[in-house]
Amino acid sequence: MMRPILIVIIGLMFGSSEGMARQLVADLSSDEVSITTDFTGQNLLLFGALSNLNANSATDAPSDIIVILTGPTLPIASRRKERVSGIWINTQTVQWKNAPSFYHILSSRPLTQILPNDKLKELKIGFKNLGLKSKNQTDEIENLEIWQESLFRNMTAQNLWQVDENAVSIIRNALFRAPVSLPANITPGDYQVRILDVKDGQLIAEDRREITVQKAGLGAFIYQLAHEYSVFYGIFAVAFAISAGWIASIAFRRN
Amino acid sequence: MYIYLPIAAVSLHIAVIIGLGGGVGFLSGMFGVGGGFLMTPLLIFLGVPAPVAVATEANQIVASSVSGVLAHWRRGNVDFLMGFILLAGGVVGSSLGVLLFSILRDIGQIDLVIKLSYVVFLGIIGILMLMESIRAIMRTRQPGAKRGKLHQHNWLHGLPLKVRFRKSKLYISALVPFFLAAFVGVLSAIMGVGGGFILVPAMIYLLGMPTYVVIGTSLFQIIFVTANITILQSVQTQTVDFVLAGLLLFGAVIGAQFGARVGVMLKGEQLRGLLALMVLGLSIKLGFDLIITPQDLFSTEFVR
Repeated sequence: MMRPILIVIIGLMFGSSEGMARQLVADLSSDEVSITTDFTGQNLLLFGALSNLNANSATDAPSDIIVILTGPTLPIASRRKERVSGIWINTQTVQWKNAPSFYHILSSRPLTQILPNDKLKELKIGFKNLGLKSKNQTDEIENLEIWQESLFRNMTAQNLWQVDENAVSIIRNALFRAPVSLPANITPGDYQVRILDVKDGQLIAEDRREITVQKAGLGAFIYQLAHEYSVFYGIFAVAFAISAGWIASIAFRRN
Repeated sequence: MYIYLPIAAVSLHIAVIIGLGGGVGFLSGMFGVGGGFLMTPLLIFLGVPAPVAVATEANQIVASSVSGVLAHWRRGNVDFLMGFILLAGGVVGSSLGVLLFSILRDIGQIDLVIKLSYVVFLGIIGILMLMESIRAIMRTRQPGAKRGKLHQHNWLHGLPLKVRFRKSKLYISALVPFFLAAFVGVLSAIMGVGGGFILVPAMIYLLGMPTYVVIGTSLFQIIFVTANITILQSVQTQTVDFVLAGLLLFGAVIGAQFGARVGVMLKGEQLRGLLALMVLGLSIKLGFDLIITPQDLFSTEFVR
């Protein structure tokens, strides 16, 4: 699957008139993901051409690519357990105001080698630079850091947040590709993909793509039924269970 | 083959789900219990969100109770008058339970309350059953033991609104079964169980019903209580996963048949002793989980 795509891009690259194309071009192997009943996550390929097409690959410093995938923002809560008379109980809750349900960063080199810290902060790249805020304003700043760390840890454990600093491969300083992996537990919605071309600590070009993730097929139908016609759904579920139980009792009485 | 469960929003192997249904069905057929108290914790353990596990299990119990009650009905072992009073209480209790469930979920304590209820009630029932079966096994080894009274009379028999239950050979206040069922209904809604493991001993020891009508009558009322929970959870929280319930059901129906066949080969006291050990084991395991220091004191969840 990889090779034909690369060949097409190489063809495009050399076919275009020189000196004109200083644009970053990126695309995805698919920009629609359907969560069907056999969904176990999906791997996509992000690929494209770097903006400095005319650069001399032998003399110029290579440029770097950072890819940021952001999923829909959902209400997320972090809870902290404390021992209360012998048992562990959730005692504190922080409701996050602006935490994305999905946040993957892919890059061609460690982020701090590509961009200085203040620049990363400015571009909001990295868990710490998301500017996460809690809804409960009473928390002190230093306390909030522990909470943020816990969010990073828990979201990473679920594969929903990730930083992979070796994921983007750059080919001959002209093309790049990066595997995008969407786990089975992703939330339906629009996923923003930002592709940054960085050289000498400066952002030189940017491209954006979008991935639409939606439930499809029988699963989507059931989900929709459960949410939009919930009374009917409940009655149907009970009727199904009653008839299944009845059929089972008849089927096994005969033998 | 993995299957994406539309409401639970997790992907599980289809063999795991059917196997779980079959395994729990086998045990429930063998011991004559609903099996909800095993299924719900196992579903949560597999990664199904607790609210989905509880609501879906209610839906599945409707089916297993229907097939169970039909067999008892054919033998005339259902006390319908008692059943109706129980189900009135059960519907009230389970409605309260569903409400309580959504409040507890919003304040982030539902997992704790589910686990605590399991520890407390499985612990109590397990110990009582174990003691009873040990006594029964001892009794069979000492021939000539005296048979006691049909049931003990206590203050519960002095309450007003007395009703005569012909089938159960009882003349007691309707308030007792009503409040008993209401209490079990609350637990049903929170723990994702039919409640048979509490209701059955309570009907035998508290109400003094003869054992042969207890199972059929409790199954009869469990149908309505779990149906009520299924519909209320569907409307309030949309956590009933129809696909998951269907697959569990499929496994459970087959498993229960094999379980019932193995069950008849074992003696009653031995069966109850085994069940008691299983119930106690689960209670201890869940209790242990609450006491040991968790790996991560922080947890993160998507809230509605």
